[in-house]
Amino acid sequence: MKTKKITALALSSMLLLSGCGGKTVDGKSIAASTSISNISADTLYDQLSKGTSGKNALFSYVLDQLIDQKFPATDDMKKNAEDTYNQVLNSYTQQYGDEDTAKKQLETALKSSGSYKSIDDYKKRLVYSMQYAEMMKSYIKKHFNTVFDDYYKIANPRKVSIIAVSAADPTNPTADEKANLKEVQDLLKEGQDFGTVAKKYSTDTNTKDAKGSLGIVDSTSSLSDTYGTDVQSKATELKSGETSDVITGSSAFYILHCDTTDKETIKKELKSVDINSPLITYDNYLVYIVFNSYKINYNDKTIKNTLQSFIKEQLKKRSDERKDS
Amino acid sequence: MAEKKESVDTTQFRRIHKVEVKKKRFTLSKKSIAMIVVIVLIIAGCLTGYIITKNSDGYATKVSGNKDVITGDVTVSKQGYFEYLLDQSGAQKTVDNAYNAITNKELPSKTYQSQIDEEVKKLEDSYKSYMGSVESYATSLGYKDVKTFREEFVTPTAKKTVLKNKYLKEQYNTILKNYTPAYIKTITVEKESIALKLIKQATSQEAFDKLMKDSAYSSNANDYKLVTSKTDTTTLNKRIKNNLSKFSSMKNDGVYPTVIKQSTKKYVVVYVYNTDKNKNKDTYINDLGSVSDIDSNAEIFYLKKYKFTVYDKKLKKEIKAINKKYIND
Repeated sequence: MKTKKITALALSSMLLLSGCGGKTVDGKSIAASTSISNISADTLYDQLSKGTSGKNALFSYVLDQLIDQKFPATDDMKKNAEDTYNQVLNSYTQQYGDEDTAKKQLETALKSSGSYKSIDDYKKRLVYSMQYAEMMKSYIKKHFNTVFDDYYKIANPRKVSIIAVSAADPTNPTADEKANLKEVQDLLKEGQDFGTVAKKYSTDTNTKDAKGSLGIVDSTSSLSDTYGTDVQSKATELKSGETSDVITGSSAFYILHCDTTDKETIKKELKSVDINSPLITYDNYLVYIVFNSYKINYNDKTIKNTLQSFIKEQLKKRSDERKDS
Repeated sequence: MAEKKESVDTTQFRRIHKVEVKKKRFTLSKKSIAMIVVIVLIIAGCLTGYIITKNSDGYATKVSGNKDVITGDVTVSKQGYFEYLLDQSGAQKTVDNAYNAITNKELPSKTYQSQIDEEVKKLEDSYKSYMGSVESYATSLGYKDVKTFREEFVTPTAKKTVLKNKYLKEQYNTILKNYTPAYIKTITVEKESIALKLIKQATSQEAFDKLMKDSAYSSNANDYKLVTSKTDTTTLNKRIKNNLSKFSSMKNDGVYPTVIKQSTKKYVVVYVYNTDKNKNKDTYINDLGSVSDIDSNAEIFYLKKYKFTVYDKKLKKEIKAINKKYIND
């Protein structure tokens, strides 16, 4: 009698055990089933890990792990992410009136972008972007000369300044707006220093106090977002010391000045690599070089082949891009 | 106020209710001890497994041969990578796997191969016109060659379409009931009296078509073709849509006998055609196939029929996020 009871207990414990890790059949974990067949974890793994998307996913995952393990999220990063989120939320609140509506709208916008699953996911990505920047910074600091030389060759950097003269409708300016523009043009014609004129007359609040300086501008800069595409393209065309003609924007007239294209001056300016350094973002393929600088031991042949061939493909694209430029 | 506790003499109670039990020394056989050891080990193993795998945010599904596939400056496990893959597109892949098995079961090649081939051809023609060749389209999606692309993407997509058509045919009456479809043409005029006059004049489809072409009405005439309960009110005015079940239940083609007042100065005359739903079954099936949620309803129908079950709690939640009706609770 006692033996029977114990056997029953043992059997129920075994059943309990089988329930611990989900359903298993023949020792294989089953994720789902229909009355026709089972869908095993191994089938899903095989299908999801192959092809281009599988290769991409493998690199992304290993990179994420590398960043998490080598450059873990700090309290400062989390605070910065929270501050950035609050700034975005504030601008939404101003737009929608109350915070609850603003949060809902922001969440909808984040989800519909396809890049974020939720507000928490957005915050995590913000933190991750700072961890990523730390990894890139660490590499760039160690290999500054090599990275800078490539940057200078590829991205055409220069220091540029700007004067903006606002106009409600630049295609049809008022007499005052015309007069303001003419005064700026006349002062520059008279040989007045560009920075001095910018400080006195520019209506661009972002740059006015810095004597119109936009800092270092390169082919990957995003001046278009603020000033329009004509300003972006002109900024990278100017020769050192050259001043542009008047560029008509959507809400202002702009005049640009190329302060310098001197390699050593720019190098000096970029030497202290911070989170806003263009050296972190100018080259989409730099991350693969950075990745290869770490010690990676492979214990799985398929993983090794997949990851190494993917990185090789990316570096070939980088190399081809440089041949074309 | 503290309650005073009364002391109770239990000795008498014990005495009365005392049951004499023959005392016997408790002994365990070697077999029983072995069993107990097995149970303890099983429970310990289970608890350990549970503690190790317990992660409210993680997956219970485990890939075989889990190990650290990468070590050095970074440690990466096969299970970790598997869970990352599941996070990316595991839910959709699981549904696709289930549905592929269902399409294979529901569409035996003996009966359905020609329909499947026809759908494959249609799809490949569309890829050719879009990107010049099937190969270009396949490689743009990351497939290594056309053969793999055909096996893994084109054929399953074609089979889904064939199965949807089968669903439409086999569930035709239920779908008619749920979607209240009707084919309608309308003429909108500014006076009710004119609308009434048009109703009298529209004695046949030819007569109505002629009125639609009449320069007095042509700019406000519209052939909506198939409209259903799913037709958006930005496409079909709400007041016209409110009468959909009446249009759908008309037994014969003809003008709807009542003028629909859409708003002030807008009166709509509706002509309903293709009312014989048996005679026009192919037309209905073809057009219903394009209705927004027919695809997912067909999927839900067959997933339910074949008892689609997901054992992993997290995966289940993600599949429900795609479509909460994919899985029955």
